[in-house]
Amino acid sequence: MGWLDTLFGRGSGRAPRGSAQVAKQRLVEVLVYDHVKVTPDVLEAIRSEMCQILSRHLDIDADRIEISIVRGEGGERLVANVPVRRTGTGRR
Amino acid sequence: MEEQQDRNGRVITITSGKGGVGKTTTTANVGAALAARGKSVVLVDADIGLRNLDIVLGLENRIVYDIVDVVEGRCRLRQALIRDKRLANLALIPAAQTRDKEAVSPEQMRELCDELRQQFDFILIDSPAGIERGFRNAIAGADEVLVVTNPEVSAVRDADRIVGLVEAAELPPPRLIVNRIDPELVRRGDMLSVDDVLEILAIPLIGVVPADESIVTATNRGEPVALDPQSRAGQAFRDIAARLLGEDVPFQPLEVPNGVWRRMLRALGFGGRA
Repeated sequence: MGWLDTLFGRGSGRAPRGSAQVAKQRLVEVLVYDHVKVTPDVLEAIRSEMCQILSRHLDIDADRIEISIVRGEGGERLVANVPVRRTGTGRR
Repeated sequence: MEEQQDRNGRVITITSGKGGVGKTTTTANVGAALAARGKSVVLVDADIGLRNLDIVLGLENRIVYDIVDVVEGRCRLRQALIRDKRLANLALIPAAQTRDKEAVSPEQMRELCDELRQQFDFILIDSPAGIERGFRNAIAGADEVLVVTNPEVSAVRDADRIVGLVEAAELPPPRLIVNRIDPELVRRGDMLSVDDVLEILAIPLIGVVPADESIVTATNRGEPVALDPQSRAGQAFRDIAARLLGEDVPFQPLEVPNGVWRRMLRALGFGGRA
């Protein structure tokens, strides 16, 4: 049904999702930074410092740490997702 | 509207942050709809230096005095009130065209609103775009605020800013009007939906106005579309007026005009998103 897809704009020449989704995502991001006034630089600094502190106590996977500010009920939250490597010999 | 003392009217400011989203059209039409419901209404053009509300209402040829003349005492309030051509209980105080925002102070706006409150049921203030002095003036005497936005990133971002400023001014949370929704684009996933905007702004909704060419033609003629019983946008403005009056009006479903082609394709099983 390729020609139909082309006719109705669903074909490969188009973004995989509707532009409204893109707009919403951009809005959410821009508003988070409007509200919290945190720049990506600051977020990166938080990330690397947290990484240093956590590494003293845990074997963390520094490359996979995710830090972001998200909107939720009652305002913005800083969310950190820190994968911890399982290196001990304890029972599973 | 004559000397009936102290009607204890409500001062409602219509604002948006971003320019060009439909504040003036909304002010004119919600005001006309309230007046058509028998309320006494005055519209105040607070966009000093960029007078527009008179044009939308088709009253541009009747202006003698303006808002700056009133606050500076060059005329009495009633001399600056322009009576609408169609609705006897609708009046306008025009903005000054040759002055700037600094010509009026927030304190003077508060005093003006208090005076108008005695004579009218509703005082609708058309705010200028921006978040500076003109906006401050426009909300200075307000009891309530309506925020107009369009379903697009920059307009919603600015609306969010305005919501914060309104709350900082210790006014109740503003209510939202989403203007120029195009149901077809929303359906295709190419326009933010009303739900998207509401989710982001998290304030109560008071109106959804579809993009409608009848607004263009009515504005060309200087006639409020709210007085056109056939217009869908006009109905949306009448619904906003009814909600301001405390009525529980359901939101109109946004119909997508259904083309013959689409129906045929759907019948043939190419349905869904075509």
